[in-house]
Amino acid sequence: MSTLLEVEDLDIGFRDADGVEVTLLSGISLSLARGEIIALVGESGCGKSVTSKAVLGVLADNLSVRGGAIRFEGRDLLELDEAAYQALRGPAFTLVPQHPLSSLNPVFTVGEQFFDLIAFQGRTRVGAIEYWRPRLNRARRHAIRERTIEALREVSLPSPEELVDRYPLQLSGGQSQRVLIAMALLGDPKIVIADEPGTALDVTIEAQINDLLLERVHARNTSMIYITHDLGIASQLADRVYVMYAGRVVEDGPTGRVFAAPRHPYTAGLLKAVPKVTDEPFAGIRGTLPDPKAVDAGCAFRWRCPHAVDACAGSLPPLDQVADDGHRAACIRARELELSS
Amino acid sequence: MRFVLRRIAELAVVMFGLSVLIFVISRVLPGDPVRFALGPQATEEQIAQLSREMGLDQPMVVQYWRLIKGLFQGDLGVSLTTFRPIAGDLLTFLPASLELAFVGMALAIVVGVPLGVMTAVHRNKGRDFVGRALAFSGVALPVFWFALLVQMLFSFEMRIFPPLGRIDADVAPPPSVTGSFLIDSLLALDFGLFLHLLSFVVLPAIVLAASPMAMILRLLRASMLDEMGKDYVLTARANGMPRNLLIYKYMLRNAFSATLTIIGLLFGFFIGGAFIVETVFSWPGIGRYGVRALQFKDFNAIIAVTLVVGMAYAAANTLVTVLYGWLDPRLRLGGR
Amino acid sequence: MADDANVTIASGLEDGPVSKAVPTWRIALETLRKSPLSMIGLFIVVAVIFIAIFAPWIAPFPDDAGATVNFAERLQPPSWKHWFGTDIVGRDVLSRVMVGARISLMIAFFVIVLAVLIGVPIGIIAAYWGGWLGNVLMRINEVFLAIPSLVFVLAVAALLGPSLPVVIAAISLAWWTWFARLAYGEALHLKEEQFVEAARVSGASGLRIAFGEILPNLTSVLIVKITLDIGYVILLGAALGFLGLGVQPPDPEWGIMVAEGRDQLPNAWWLTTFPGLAIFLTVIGFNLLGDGLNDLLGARQ
Repeated sequence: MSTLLEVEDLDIGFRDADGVEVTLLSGISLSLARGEIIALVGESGCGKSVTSKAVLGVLADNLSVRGGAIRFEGRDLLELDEAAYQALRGPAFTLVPQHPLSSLNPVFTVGEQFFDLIAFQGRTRVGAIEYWRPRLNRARRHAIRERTIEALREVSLPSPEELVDRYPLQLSGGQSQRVLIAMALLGDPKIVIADEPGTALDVTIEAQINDLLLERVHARNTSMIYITHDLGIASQLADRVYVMYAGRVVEDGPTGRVFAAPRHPYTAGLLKAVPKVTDEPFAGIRGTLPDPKAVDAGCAFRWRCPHAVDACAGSLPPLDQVADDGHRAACIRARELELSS
Repeated sequence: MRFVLRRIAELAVVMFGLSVLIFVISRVLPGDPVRFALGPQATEEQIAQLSREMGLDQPMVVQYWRLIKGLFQGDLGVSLTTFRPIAGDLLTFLPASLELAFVGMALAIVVGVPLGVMTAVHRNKGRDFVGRALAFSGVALPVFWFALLVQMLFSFEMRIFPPLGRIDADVAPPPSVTGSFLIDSLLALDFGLFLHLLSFVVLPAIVLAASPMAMILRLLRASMLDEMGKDYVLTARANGMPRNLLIYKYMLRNAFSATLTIIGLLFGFFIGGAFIVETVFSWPGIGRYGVRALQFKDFNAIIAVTLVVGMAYAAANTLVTVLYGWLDPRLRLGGR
Repeated sequence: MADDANVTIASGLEDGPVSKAVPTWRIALETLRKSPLSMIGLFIVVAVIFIAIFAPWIAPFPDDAGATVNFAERLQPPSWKHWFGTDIVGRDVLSRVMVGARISLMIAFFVIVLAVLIGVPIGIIAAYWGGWLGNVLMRINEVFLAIPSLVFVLAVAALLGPSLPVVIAAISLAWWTWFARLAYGEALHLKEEQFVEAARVSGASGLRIAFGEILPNLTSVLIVKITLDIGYVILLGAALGFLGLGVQPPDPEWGIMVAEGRDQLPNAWWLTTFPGLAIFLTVIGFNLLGDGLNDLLGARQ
């Protein structure tokens, strides 16, 4: 399988109001092959969203990439100008966002928003004449409308011909999410980035959405980066998983292997924290994410780690191989610890 | 539809309250209007007679009823200075005020909206600071002072524009179709006249538009910046929506909705500003008429002008609210 | 924090090193200092207030603020003796402008005090008790708001006969509505907050809640609005003076001075320029300060 996307040692940070340098991502490395699904897993604030925004090129203005590279089909995206980047949005990668109800513009119909994407996706600017031409041409208008209906049908939305003319507020959460998936699939992207789709929805609806996503992605042989804090979903969907903590990848590898035999205490803690239908008491990980302004040398997890030793404070543990199949963990005690999940 | 009806009902209530308020103020305040009008030399007889004519000796309720009746019949009383029916005077001067207001509003929007978008899109760069400085000054500027400065500089010193009036005294206005000299001159295909008229309206319109333009700029900038943080913007951007479409179609539409909420306030500025601008530039509108009435203590005219202005303002606000509801489907369809 | 039963590491350190907490007044000062515009605003405001208070003692020709005449020196352009020149009867414009600051600030002060004292309680009452009373109060509010401020104030001033107290009364009559509306809106939000529920449950009386709990939370919004409104009230008062319907001559109110200078245009330009400039700068000062306070108080929440 050829590598479609390769993130190498990505460092992202910003300078806050007091002039202090804050690091959000540190040394992030990922790889994604054609047709593969990877999951980025971690607590809120660990940097999963920032990573995906970096790939899409939609980082907030105050964030700056301090180092590393993002290679898509060999080209470093960080060296592209905005026009080149924009051309990739649609055919190369798209986004399925987290909040369905607020991710569609409320004052335009679904059809109108799809119209502009179908007609103009990937372009940097649209002149006045170009804007009106497809709208005034009946054949083109009709073709685009048909394409929209087809896209909506593909995500199993009922009565797509009517839905085209509805406003987003007339849709339920589940319907909106499907519309957003349809939108993301419009340009036939090579990578779909799904940022916790469904977290805002009921569990049953969320399951439907995930099934739909999985099915569509497989049918088109599209790669997917699925971001979530829910390990259960990650284990169902993803071929490989990356566990993130405080802006770093602490463990990665084939999903089955990582969850069955975790090598990093954080992963183990996460797995233990998943509520199971048994009599076991709740098991959390004590403490909270560290303050990103107060980083020091040494493992960022050691404060909460039940297996920490003095050496953990000394230096940052590198992401080392712990097994042959690409399973890596960033813990100096990775090999010796027998962690149960 | 129900939305519109409710708004109209509210408007009616407000108008009623307005008429009561103005009436109460006019009758309850100390000071005898008749004495004001007739001046210190008036005899007791003259005062008594005028009081009777004006119905000031009747009980309050009767006076109020006469006022309301007159309003519906289009009779606003007789001016104590010109001795002409006020309603007629107002109608004569209304077109000029409307014309000035429209030109001013157009200017404020045409300058304010693009600047507002530009300063938001180019946030914290040079253009942003200049735009914001302009807007800031516009809001703090005393209208009458600005009017005098502009008049002094461009009319008296540089002699580019005429200082006073709407048209030269020896030039004939265009045949009346709409009441707006500018439009009527275009309709008559008299472009020379059009330019001539334009030279008169330019300075007062600029002065009138200064504050509202500043307000539009600031509010639009803030609204656009708000929009930039919204989820749909991120999604659209990430999925390849062209930038200028995103800004000028999708974001601006939302931001504009927020700006419309202050349009009511802007009307208020336009009306108040018109009183001053029309006085300084001798623009023959209702504002100038009103100020004259105020300075001459023309009791009837003051009441009539205040009432008419208040009602027009309330009606305009209601119109805007209805428009706002039409623009934003959320309100129409009973959303959040 | 979910503590394990077998904690051996000292509790409190599980969160790792944390950046130090800073006292709030420090933050306030830093924030304000970081914004040079706000500092300029503060400086202007303090300067204007200072001038207003001490004008009779620091003005070079304090008597010129009244009805004195000095025909020998009439219509002099700005010079070292008269920084702002002299007017048509020879009075020193600078001194008049300085004393004029008193008038404008006095109007602003009294108007704001009255408007707040009337408007805020009405707004809170209407929001908190709601129902029939609230509706009526807010309808009345809307009626007052239905007339543009300038027109309303002009009418009242004309009908009553213009003078300083009349100006204050008229503008207050128009201005209380804005404060009522602001208080109403904010109180409506705050009514739903948890601490209000808590107070109610613990048996506090309605009045105690309305004015003890809700009111204090309005202060930051009120402070910002008051600061910004001072500027607008000054503008309104000056407009009245300009049209002859406000403070009357020979009082050196800025608006009157601009109007008096109008007849001398374009020759004696200093007569309109300096008083108008005084108004402009004063309003800018209050607006800058108000914006700064807005950022400051908003950020703190």
